[in-house]
Amino acid sequence: MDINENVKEYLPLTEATYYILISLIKPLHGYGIMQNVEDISKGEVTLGPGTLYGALNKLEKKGLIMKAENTEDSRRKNYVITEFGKLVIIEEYKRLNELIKCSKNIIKSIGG
Amino acid sequence: MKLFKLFLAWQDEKEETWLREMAKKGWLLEKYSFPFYTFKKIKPKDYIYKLDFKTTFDNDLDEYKTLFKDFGWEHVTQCVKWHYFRTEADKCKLPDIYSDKNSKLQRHKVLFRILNIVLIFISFLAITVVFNNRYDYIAMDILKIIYAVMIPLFVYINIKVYIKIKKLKKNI
Repeated sequence: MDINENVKEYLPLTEATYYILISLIKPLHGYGIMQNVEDISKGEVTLGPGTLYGALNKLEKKGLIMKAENTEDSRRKNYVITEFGKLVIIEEYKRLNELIKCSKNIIKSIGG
Repeated sequence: MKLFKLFLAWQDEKEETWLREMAKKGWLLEKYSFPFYTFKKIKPKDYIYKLDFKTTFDNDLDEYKTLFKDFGWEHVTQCVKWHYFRTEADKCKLPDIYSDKNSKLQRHKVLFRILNIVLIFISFLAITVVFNNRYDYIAMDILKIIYAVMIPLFVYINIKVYIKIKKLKKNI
């Protein structure tokens, strides 16, 4: 399977997953991710610990993120996005952009 | 105070509500080991309880508990893969440990898969060993009775969890 097909398998991303991935451009641990997600979504998205734990596990297993090396506190592991994870968010960003572009006029015509 | 009460795999919300009511009446959960709840007397207080079914191996247990603690959820007790968390109702930002329906559904799917593996395993043992031997021991008869109760019970639990998954899916 070529890498493009591989990337597309992960789309669409849930809102939570998308925010977690773009937060992990720099290494962060669980609570730091939640704060960052709140920040960039201007308080619109709040993550629960169960949701975050599940997402981190799944994303790590699928190779979209990995544990960052320098973790001083073993109970608070830092995670960071992988190169493959970057490809996935770029592809998702393009997909969302495409949706916006092709529906723009229609949305305008109905008063949006 | 020790209380006997039975909640099964699909009744976690009911159990959470019950624990919350107990705290409002001044009974704080200390420990749970199936099917006994141990409470201690406190000044009545409103605590929200949430049960999590941990879907991974326990080598990251410390990390898991720390994550919930950072979010303001105190780890109370653990029973097999079920973890009991609580937070003060008037101080919490989010009254749930799951912030979207998708992740909640995902957790139930893993639970369902594990329950099915257990069911297949005990059914396999029943067919190959328990109900298929010529030993005439009382112990074997007792085992047969246990299996005859356990298998239908597990089938029932699995159906209930399956119905719950269907409901969660419909709400997404």
